[in-house]
Amino acid sequence: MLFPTTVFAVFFLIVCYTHWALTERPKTRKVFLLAASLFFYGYWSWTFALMLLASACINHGMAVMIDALQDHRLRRRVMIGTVGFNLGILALFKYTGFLYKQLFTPLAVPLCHWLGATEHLVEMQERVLPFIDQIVLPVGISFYTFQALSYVVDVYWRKVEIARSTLDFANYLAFFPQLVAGPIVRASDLLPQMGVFPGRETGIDTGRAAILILGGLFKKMVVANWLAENLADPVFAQPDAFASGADILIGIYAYAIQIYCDFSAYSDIAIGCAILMGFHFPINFNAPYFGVTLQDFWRRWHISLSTWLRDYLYIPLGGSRAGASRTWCNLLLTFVLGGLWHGAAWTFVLWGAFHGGYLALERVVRRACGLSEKPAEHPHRVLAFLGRIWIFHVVCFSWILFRSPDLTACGEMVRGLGRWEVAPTLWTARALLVLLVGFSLQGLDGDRMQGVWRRFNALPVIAQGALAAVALTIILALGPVGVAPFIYFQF
Amino acid sequence: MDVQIEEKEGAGASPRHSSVPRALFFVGVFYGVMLILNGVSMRESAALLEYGWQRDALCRLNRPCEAVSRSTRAFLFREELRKTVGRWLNTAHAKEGE
Repeated sequence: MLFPTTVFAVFFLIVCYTHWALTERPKTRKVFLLAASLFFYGYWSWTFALMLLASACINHGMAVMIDALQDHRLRRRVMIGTVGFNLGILALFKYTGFLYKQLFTPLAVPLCHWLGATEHLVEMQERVLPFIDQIVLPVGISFYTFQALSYVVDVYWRKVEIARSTLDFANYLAFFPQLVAGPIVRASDLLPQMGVFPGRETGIDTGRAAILILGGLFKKMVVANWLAENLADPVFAQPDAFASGADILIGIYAYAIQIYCDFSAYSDIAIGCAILMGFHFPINFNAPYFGVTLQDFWRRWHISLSTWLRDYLYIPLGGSRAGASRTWCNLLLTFVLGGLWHGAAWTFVLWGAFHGGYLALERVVRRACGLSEKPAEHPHRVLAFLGRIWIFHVVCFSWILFRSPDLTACGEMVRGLGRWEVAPTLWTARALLVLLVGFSLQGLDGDRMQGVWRRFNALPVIAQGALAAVALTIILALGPVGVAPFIYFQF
Repeated sequence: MDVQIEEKEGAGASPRHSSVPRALFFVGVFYGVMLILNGVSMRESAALLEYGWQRDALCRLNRPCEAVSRSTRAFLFREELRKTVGRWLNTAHAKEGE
């Protein structure tokens, strides 16, 4: 079920009203919310919904065992086993094809040829490949697997209380606004809210919810869809068809803005829907292209994933505590795995390696210049401006790796950037206007719009509702016909 | 990776929050006005869906909204916007550049 559709609008209306109508019946309310979340997910496939439910039961069961065990070694083994189980399921769905085709086959072909067992390999390929091609990646599996992992590990570290029941944990894992494309809400944030549901006395920030939902819909339906359709998709699909490097460049800029508008839109709508149901999610984007260094960018982009990788991968690996070279290795490994989390392809591995490598380089340069490793809170204005422009272009370069279907296409894009003899065709006033609007939408992130929320909240309720409906109508009239799925659904 | 979350607690700290009934009334008004303004378009979108129970249900659900939208002529707001700004924005972009 996609957010910007009539089906979701009807679904949300029913769920929101029923959720609040059941405040006097807490148990029924929890069961209802879980059923609604499973219906939301099962709208794609009921098999996936059952898998999610099974994941919730297994992970909670293992967490209860970890919590109850006294023997440290045994606890550790159960925790590692549970983490392995989750990663194994993720790998089965997401990486089987990649591992088989990109790693196993290139190694097995010369080996079998040398051993004279090529026929056996061909026989095996005939049996295995159809099975691999049938594997369908359940939408959002990477997101809920990471949530489950954070819960199990936090219970092991005794950072979070065990969920009161499987129902509470299942509601945490399956809560529909964040289920498919995040934010990856930690157990410590959401689980207590799932234990005791918000009551009638809860204050609802309708202003914030409305701005987030409408802003998200505008980002997705108007800006991201327009940029994808008119600039990014044509350029990335056939870079050779564009004779000017300037066209390739605007295609890359368009993708940078598109992916921000697309992904942050999902997070915004998820946070807005959660607010209307009385739940609180942490922010996931905070004006990422305003980052003055790459480290700063990662503090602002997909915050729930970057902090997850920091807390459950980078710090356990040793973080920055074990010397400079070890820190660089940890950064590189963390980001390569972060890249792989996005998808099973060499382009994602290289994208991660690029970010990890650049972050390591940034550390070296800052240290050599005698600067602190963290950027200053209030850097000099001119330096900050130049830093933002530079980092935006560094990130844009990395999006070539991220968006290109393979390394050949990536090479074509880079080569295309070198052609400047012909006049560009895509640099129109309309394209620049949409790019500028998309870039400016970062102003909606964080609490920058607090004043607008307050003014909206101060309006009479009828005016609030009417204003929001008019704004939605404008968005629908400006957007193209049809709804494209969110980019992050594929991860 | 010294990524540090700045959990903007301010992000939920607007001083004038609505009570639950007020928030639900807001949602109701929003849906009501939205249906009046978009009834015709929603009916047209539903008609474009694949044949099946979902299409039938949505078409049936949207019929009264369409009737209200037409009788109040509220659908013209979206129509006019779509015909002017929407059309300008969404006509094939490459043609303009060529």
